[in-house]
Amino acid sequence: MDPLEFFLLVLAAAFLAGIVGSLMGLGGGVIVVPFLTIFLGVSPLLAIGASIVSVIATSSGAASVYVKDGITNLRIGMFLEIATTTGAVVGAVLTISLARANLEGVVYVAFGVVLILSVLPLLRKLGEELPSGATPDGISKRLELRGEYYDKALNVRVDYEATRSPLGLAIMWAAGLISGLLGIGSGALKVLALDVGMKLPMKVSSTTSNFMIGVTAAASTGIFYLGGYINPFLAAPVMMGVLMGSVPGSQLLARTKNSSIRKVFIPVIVILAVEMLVHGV
Amino acid sequence: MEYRDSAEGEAGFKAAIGLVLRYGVIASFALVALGSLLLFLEGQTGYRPMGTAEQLFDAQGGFPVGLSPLIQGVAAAKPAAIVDLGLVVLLATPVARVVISMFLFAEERRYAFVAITAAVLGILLLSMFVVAPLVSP
Repeated sequence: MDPLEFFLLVLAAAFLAGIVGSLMGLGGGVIVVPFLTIFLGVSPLLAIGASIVSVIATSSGAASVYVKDGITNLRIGMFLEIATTTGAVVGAVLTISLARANLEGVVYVAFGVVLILSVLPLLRKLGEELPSGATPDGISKRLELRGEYYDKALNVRVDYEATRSPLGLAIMWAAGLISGLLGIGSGALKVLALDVGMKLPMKVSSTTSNFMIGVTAAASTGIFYLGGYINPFLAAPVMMGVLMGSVPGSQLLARTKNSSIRKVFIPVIVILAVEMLVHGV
Repeated sequence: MEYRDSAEGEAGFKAAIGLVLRYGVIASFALVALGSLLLFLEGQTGYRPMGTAEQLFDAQGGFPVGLSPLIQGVAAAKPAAIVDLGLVVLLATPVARVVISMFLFAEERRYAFVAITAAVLGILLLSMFVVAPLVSP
């Protein structure tokens, strides 16, 4: 294929992945990695390296908007980033080691499984919009892992306090591991750690999770980039495409009240998951 | 203990975090776009001919990594080096956010969080300068 054709093809695919990914709240990486590996035959490690770069871009772009609204909890985010960055380092080393040992099938299978699991929260809403009766644990008390914000939609001031911090740390470590291993933001699992695990309000969970994704991705990107596993000309169209797609995607998401639009794309994710599993076995 | 929550200082740091994230991404996008444009205008990467799509996009390595080749490459306007600079700016963006957070927590006198933030920064630097060389091919 002509390099320019290939570049434009990846750019267009990444743009679509950015739209669908942000519309579903899953991020562009979960779609762009299967596309590059299965349809274009790019090696998994290079696809993961290109994808994780786009994860930093979309997360930082969205976080720059959210941080000013006062809902993002910087303290809870920073505390949990100890776990996500550590997990991401292990994940990146693991995926590089697997690729070098010609065990890329494991990466494909893990990707397929994570894709299927990430659909579950879309089918049934986990966690509560405003959880009640959370008793803070020792760490949460000592570090004051609490906050408040004004909910415009509900017209109330919401006070909250985190509970089960060790559980939150454990799930966050796993989220970091998956992010580093597969080159995705792993936002669904981060939100799960915050709203189901630590019983934070839904809005705090989603904005704080997004805020954490960029730093988590930086921990593995540093390894991929400085280790020489990122091809600049593959990362370029993936990053630009996903970032450009995420803008209309998130605007569309903000305008659609119900989750029906998300469900339209669930079959797409399931097909990609099956493709990845078949590829790996 | 009295914390200076939602003080002017905190709002200033939060605004700074927002600005760093925003302009970090914009600068990175501009550099990556410029480098890509130069690649196709010049028909070469700056280090080797463009070759086929497979040679250009699926090749691992082949482009120098590190600060001095990056500076030399950018000075010589090599397309690959300009894209790389964009990637480095992007990678530095969350790291800069962590550094600013440290000042934010110091301003609030939350010293436990200054330590936590320093630990996150330590992990990031460790991943780049200790772990990456170990797994390099």
